[in-house]
Amino acid sequence: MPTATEADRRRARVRAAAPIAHLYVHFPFCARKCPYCDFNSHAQREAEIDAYVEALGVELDRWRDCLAPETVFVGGGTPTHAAPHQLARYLTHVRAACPAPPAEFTVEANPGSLTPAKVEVLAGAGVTRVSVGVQSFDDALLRRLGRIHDAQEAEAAFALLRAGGFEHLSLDLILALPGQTLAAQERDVRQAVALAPEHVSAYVLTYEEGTAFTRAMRAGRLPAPDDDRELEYLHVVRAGLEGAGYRRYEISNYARAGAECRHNLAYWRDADWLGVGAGAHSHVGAWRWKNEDGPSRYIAGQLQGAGAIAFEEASDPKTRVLEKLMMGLRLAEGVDLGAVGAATGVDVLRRRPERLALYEREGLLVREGPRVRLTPRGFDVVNAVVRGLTA
Amino acid sequence: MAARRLEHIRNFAIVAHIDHGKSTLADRFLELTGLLEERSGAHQVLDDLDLERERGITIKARAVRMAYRKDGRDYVLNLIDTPGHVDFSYEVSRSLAACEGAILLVDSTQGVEAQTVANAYLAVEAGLELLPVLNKVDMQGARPEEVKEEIETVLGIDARHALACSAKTGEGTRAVLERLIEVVPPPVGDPEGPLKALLFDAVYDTYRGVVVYVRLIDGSLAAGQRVRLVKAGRDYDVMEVGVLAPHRTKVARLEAGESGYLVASIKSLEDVNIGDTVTTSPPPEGFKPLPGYREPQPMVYCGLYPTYPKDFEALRKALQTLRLNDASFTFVPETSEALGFGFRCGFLGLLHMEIVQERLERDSDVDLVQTAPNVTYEILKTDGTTVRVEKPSDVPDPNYIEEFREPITRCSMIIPHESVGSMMKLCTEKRGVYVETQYLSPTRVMLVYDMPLAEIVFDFYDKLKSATRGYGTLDYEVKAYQAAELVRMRILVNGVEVDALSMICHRETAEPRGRRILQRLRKTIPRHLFAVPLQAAIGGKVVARETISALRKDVTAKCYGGDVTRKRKLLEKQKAGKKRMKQVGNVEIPQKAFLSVLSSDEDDDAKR
Ligand SMILES: Nc1nc2c(ncn2[C@@H]2O[C@H](COP(=O)(O)OP(=O)(O)OP(=O)(O)O)[C@@H](O)[C@H]2O)c(=O)[nH]1
Ligand code: SF4
Ligand SMILES: [Mg+2]
Repeated sequence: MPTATEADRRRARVRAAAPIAHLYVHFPFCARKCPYCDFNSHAQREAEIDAYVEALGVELDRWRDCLAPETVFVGGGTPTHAAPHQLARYLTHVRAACPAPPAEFTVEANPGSLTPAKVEVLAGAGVTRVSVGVQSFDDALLRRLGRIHDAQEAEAAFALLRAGGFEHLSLDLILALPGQTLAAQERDVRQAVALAPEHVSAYVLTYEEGTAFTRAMRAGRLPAPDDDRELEYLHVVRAGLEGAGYRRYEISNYARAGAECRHNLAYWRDADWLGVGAGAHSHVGAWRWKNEDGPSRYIAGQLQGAGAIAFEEASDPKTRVLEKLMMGLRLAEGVDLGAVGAATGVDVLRRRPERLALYEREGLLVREGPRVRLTPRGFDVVNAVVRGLTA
Repeated sequence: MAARRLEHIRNFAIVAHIDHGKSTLADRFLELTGLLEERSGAHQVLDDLDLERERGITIKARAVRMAYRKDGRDYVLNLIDTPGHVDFSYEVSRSLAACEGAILLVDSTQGVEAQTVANAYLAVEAGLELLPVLNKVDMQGARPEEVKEEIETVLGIDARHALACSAKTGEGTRAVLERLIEVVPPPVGDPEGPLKALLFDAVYDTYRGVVVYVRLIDGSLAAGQRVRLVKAGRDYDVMEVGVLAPHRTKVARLEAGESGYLVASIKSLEDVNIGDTVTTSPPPEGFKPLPGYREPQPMVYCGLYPTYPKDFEALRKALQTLRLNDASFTFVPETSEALGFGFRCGFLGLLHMEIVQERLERDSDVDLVQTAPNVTYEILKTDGTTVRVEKPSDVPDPNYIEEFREPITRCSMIIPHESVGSMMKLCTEKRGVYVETQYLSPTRVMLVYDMPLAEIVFDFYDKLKSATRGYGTLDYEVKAYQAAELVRMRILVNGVEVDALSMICHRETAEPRGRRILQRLRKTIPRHLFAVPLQAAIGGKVVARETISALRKDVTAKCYGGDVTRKRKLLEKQKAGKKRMKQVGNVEIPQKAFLSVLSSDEDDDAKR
């Protein structure tokens, strides 16, 4: 339990950096838990949603004087799993924390949970962008992923959102699924492109600790991840999307010109943000902290106290460099090492000139003055490059 | 008159083949003399090093003083329990120099084995009274009569009246102790003369400095005396003397014929030399030091390097401290282009090497990289001079080599007769030259071969064990250096020669060996962001090559704001793992890669 003074100190730090331009809101409820998912999401807990919405209101209100969000991102969980009136209420709380309408206001949605009523609520609340968890257009694979929707519902969700007036839609795909053929992967990409989303997120399936998928994989019931296969699928998807005019602006994200997700760009560019809701992370300057994961504890913490924090840490300058590189090198625009040096006092250009030269020779990165950006081949091994540059 | 005072003292050692029950018999003696409660249930109490307890073998000879009353007379018995493994035979010969007698213990279920023979000869050469004793008579398979015959046939010792006992149950052990008192002569020496003592062991104690173990030949020793350590030429004031019973126990004085310890706040480790003489300061007129021990000749060398360069001095200190307690390994500083500053260390065998390395890591907290071991070679150069080669990088350019010589051992193997065929095949594979066969009994045979040390020192013992279903035993001794077709093979990683990986090997086997080593390196060196070529070369000629292909994928699919802390910690952990590797040029080489030169071909087959 944090003491009042800890919370006070945190607030003082945030206020010194205010106004904070980016706000994340977490909604930790889903209709069903997907077997590959390690997000903070809970199924069969609908009874808690009303109280949760109230707790969100309290926490948002507490930060109100520190916020001037240019971007808002409501993620989950499944934010659209709430009933229309609940959705309306918490989006109103969110809007109330914004002195002006945010330029970008994203809500994540799952095709199975979108209804005309909810789309209307989203539009009415000032939401500008909806990110739709399609994952695949192959019904058999969708079932295996434990998703509650099928391809037809995904297409219907898009139609509904377009009819509701949304001009910025994003579509999520998961790649290299177990049992998926390369041809099926190409089909998924074509169908995604056919829906003409402004933005596509395409992630290679990751076996996360503690998930049912990982247990099944360890027990031999699912194939173990295979780097070569994953690379092949990833390259096919990249070719398909780039061929259709999308630009890969981050390792797993593609957008039409000007349709990049500004909120997520803030993460990769190491900006400050506040996160509210269960398990939400915040980052201000060298500080990071995270709310308690469990919805019940979160609710109790907000309604009765100053909020329950799971952890809080401050990074030293070298750690800050690592954070800036591991996030920033994911972007096509890369990282300005001069700016990193100015912000942290650690001069990467000086400390690791031979590595930079080596990676450049190997075709993993390109240097333009103080700016370093990875090539497509560099993206495939970004972790190793970051380790090398910060060793 | 003077000699009378030594009448009640008996100094003796227990020698045997490994596992024949020396330390267990010592337990019984401790019980019989009241140092250990009877039926204490304690096992091998003299094996008090952690490593000895873990491995169930004796590594260090250990002295203990006991008191025993027989026929109305009080005796002081100084027992030394010795190790049985061939790598530690130097410990045995050191121990014997402080004794007048020895129990030759033979497991009556196993019979005479290779180190039974070797240690019996050591004792006879040292002029000791040898008392053969058959052990483990409680066991089902005991065949004491046959074993007595083996002792007579092989060793030529009269074993008709040999005692039999069970060190485990205690049966017959009192009789052994009493027989000892009867047959082992008391020491000779002059208690009234000036001090002359053999420094036979030492151990470092953080609080008291070096504790020195001595056997007094002449004179006496008490606190307050000023003594000289002859080799170092340094004088010290004795602060305490005592005996080992079995722990250090303070006494007023030690006399000629007795063994014990002295404390004199000796801080400088270099002053203490095992085998040195301790005398008065100044030494008496006409003083002659004791002959001491013959310097052990290391058989196997390897490089030991700190993983982190900053630990170099800590490693030196750790080596010095350990050497006090184990005079049979040697070390000199060396530098490797690949590994930086470290030490070239010499050992009596591979087990010895393993034990020293483990003791170092435990006692000092220094993380070590070990290079592949090699034996010592001799090279006759074209200019007529002969040089000793202790590491591959000492090998001169082939143009300057007249003759490349390797150590040849006389190797005795005692094996069941049905294994003769497979053993002879194995010996031939290892370039052995047949010498003779001798039947110990209708079922047991002693096979003698001359074999290159380089062939037997690595995996030969394991192979012998499997060829004889565990029954075979081995003893060897270097007898000569002989010319052979030897070459130095260099290993290049990413075009850079890694001196710590190069090796000396037989020309005929160089190519396949090089290939195997590269294959193992390919598996142990992690992929890098670039392709890493591996080459094995003799002179300028590349005899094998492999490539570690570049890392293709190391990317986190999803990384958003909430992932920063967790993913960053993962990266930090991976970075810490890399730090423990040795950086050679641009390539990071894990510690275990330096040993890939060592593992035998079977390891590879087993993995298939
Ligand atoms: N049954 C039986 N087992 C015995 C007897 N003496 C020793 N052993 C067992 O034999 C094994 C080896 O005994 P140790 O006393 O450690 O042998 P060691 O000769 O000191 O061995 P090293 O010091 O390693 O050479 C142990 O498991 C003992 O319990 C005996 O008289 N009878
Ligand atoms: S819908 Fe999304 S958040 Fe919910 S369980 Fe499935 S993957 Fe996880
Ligand atoms: Mg023993």
